[in-house]
Amino acid sequence: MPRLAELGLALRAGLLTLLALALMLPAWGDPYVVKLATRILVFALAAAALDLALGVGGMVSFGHAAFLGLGAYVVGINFLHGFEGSLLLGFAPTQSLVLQLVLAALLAGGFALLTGAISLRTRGVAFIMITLAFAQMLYYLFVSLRRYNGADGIALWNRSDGGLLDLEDPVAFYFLCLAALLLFLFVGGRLYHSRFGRALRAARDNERRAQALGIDTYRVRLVAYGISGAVTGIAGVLLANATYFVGPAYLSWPVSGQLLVMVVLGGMGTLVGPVFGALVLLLLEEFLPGLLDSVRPGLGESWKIVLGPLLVAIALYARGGLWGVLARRRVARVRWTGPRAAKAPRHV
Amino acid sequence: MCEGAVLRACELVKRFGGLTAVDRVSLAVESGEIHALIGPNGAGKTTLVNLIAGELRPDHGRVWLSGREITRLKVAKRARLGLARSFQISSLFGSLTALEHVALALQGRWGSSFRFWGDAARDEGLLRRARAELARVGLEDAADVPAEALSHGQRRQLELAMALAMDPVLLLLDEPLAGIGLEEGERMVELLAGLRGRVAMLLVEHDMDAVFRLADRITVLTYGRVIASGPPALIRDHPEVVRAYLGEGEASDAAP
Repeated sequence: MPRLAELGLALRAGLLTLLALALMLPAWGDPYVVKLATRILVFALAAAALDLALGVGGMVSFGHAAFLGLGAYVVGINFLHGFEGSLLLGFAPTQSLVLQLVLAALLAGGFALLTGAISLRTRGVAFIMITLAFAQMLYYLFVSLRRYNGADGIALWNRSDGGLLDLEDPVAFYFLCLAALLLFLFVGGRLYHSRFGRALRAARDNERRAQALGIDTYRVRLVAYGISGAVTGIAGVLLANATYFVGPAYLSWPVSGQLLVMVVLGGMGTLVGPVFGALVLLLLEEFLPGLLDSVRPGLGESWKIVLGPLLVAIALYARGGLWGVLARRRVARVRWTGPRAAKAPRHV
Repeated sequence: MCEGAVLRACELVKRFGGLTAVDRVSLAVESGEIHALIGPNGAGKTTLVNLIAGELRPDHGRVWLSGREITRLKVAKRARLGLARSFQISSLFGSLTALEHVALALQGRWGSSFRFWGDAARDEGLLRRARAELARVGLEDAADVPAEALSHGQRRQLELAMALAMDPVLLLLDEPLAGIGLEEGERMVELLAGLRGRVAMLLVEHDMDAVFRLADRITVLTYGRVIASGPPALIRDHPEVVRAYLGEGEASDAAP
């Protein structure tokens, strides 16, 4: 993740404009726009969280839908028990957003630590397949869980209880999601530049060397994977509230794939890039069919045929993703010109 | 027999399939001593270094560091106990600057990699120490240069700076002079000589001039076995060493 001070003036101005637009968007007054923007923010949060593992940590997880789904089911299961007036594992269900966020972070983070402890013993394709397997395991579990409506999922009649914040108000909920995303970008940025972040990147770039320096690369990776899972779980809580629905589809591999595409599209290892990835991918999914239909009626049905090659083209030609294109040549590069001729004596 | 000293390896054996790369090798590095490990290509030097550093597990035998058995410990744990190594081929993190490399070595050795908040690039405690370590090897002017822009010799110096930053109990140097120029090589030898008596070193090196200038003791390895071990004067004239290096025929000619 780049430091703000290292970015070019134009890019900084652009980001500021984007933030201003995001803040003013509800003033537009179109509920459809707010709903779409909310969805983008939620997926942006999940994608940025995935990037902490994928880009910064070099762990290609194909199972992040599991953490997203777990977070969503925290909302759904609590809602169902609250609706029935029944107990959840002997406890009264909670509709409090704050408690649900904490629960989701613990549950998804815990699941990430547990599965990560096993999958991080493997590398490369094996790691991808193991993370996929764990996520699919959870998917089939929820599909077969009759108690929570199996494959049909749980429709929510109302959103979680936000305390002072009325989450039923789409604008308030939109700002909550925006705040969550900005908060994670800030925290993620601190993490990236901390000693932990350095150790994590060192483990990614040259594991053998990092170990020889005393860095326990396995533990560093595992902790990063846990944090990534926990934040994705938080995004899951927001997703359930955004859609008024929770179902096993949230845990399925296409969702993991979608998050991966957002990260790669936006720019791996930058945390902020995946936000653009989520923005562009979801906008394309939303508007590409209509756009194609306007070119030729009926063409909209085959929008995926257009989207696929488009993504391939971006992956091929925009190394470093959208963020890489935006930030190109803006980061000042230090050039080494050799030792200075006259060198002042130094005290050692 | 197997205790004491900074490093002690006892009866180490490592087999790869049918090949015994290291065959019952025992050696000790006393405190402050420069102990050179020499031998022809394929003698098992690198395998032995990897057994000591923890990248390979021996099939037999044990390793002690400062009286503590480390045979089963992981690489990172050994490093945190003060076993610092440099690599035969400079192994760095391309985009990090020289200063960041040393800072990384410091945080690795201190075991402080689980600090999640403070900005490591503005951590004065870390930076001050890292700058001092760079100055020790004469790289202070290259502090902010990315490693990929350093010359080959400077990278070797950086490797040494990183190892020294770890405040090593034992320095494991795998061919620190490999591939660097005469002038830079000379500088490296002087640097290493300046550390004699302060840091115990196990030095693997092909450059015999450097070895005989630096080493307090030399161990010679061929076909995975120790054929001689002792002070340089003894090794220079050791008949088996001469034979291993010069070949059978010439050795008998040279020593009629």
